[in-house]
Amino acid sequence: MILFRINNLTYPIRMTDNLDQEKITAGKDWAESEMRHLVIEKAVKLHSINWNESADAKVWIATIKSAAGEHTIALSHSALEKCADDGSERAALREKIRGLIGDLARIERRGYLR
Amino acid sequence: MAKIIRAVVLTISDSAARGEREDLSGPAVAVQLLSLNVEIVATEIIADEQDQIAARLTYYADQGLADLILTTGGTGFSSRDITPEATRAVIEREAPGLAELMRIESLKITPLAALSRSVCGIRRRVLIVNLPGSVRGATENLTAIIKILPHAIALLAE
Repeated sequence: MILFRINNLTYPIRMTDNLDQEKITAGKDWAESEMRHLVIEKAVKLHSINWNESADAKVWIATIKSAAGEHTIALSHSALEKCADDGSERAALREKIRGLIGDLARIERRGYLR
Repeated sequence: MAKIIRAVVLTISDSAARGEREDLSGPAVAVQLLSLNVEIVATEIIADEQDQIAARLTYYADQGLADLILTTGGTGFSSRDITPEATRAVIEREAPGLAELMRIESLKITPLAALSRSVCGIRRRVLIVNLPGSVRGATENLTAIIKILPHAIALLAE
C-alpha cells in the first residue's frame, strides 16, 4: 500500500497502471476481429462476444457464446496494450485465441474436448 | 457399462489469466481425470474474481453440461484467494466429507495442507470440488478422492 501524506493526514492511494487505455481498446478490437476471423475459419457457429473487465486482476474477459456453449478467455491489459505495436505479442495472443476457438470447434463437433 | 462422466476443469488464477504464468495445474488435473471414464467438456482459466467464478460454476451446472466441476487455485489464505467463497455462494448442499478426506490425505504428506480452505458441494446434480492451485497439491488432493468420484456422481444422477 502506498501512503500519501497531506495536511498531517495520511491517505492510501491506489496504484494505477501506467498503461495506454487507447492502445488497450485498440488491442481489444484487434482481439475481437481475430476471434471473429478464426470463428469463420474453424466454422464455429458464433452467437456473440461480450467483454467484461476485471480491474483487480488487470484483465479483460471475453465471453464467447457459440453452438459449443459459453466460454471465456482472459486477456491481460498489458498484452492488449502491447499488441497494438508489437508483432510478437500479437502472435502470442493470436495463438491463445486460436487455442480457444479450436477447442470450441472440437466441442461443437464431438461434444467434448478429450 | 459405466456412465461417462462429463467434467469441466476451471483454473482460477490471476497470473495465469494474465498469461504471466503457464497453467500447469489444469492440464495435470485433466490428465489425471482421464484415468476415469471421463470426457473433458471444457477447460477455462479464470481470474480470482468471485462473481466470475460463481458465474462459470452456475453456467456449467445449470445448463446441465457437466457432472463434475473441478476448480484448481484460489483456496489459500491470500486476499485474492476467493474460490471457496464463490463455491459456497452457488452450491445447494455441501459435501464436507470430500474436502475433509482431501485434507486428511494431504496432511500425511505436508502440514501445509491445513492451509487449504477447499470446499466441495453440489449444485443441481453437479459435484463441485475445489483443488489447490499447485500441481502437486491439486493432483495429491484429487488422488485422495478420485476412486469415489464415480460413485458420488452416480448417486447424484439417480
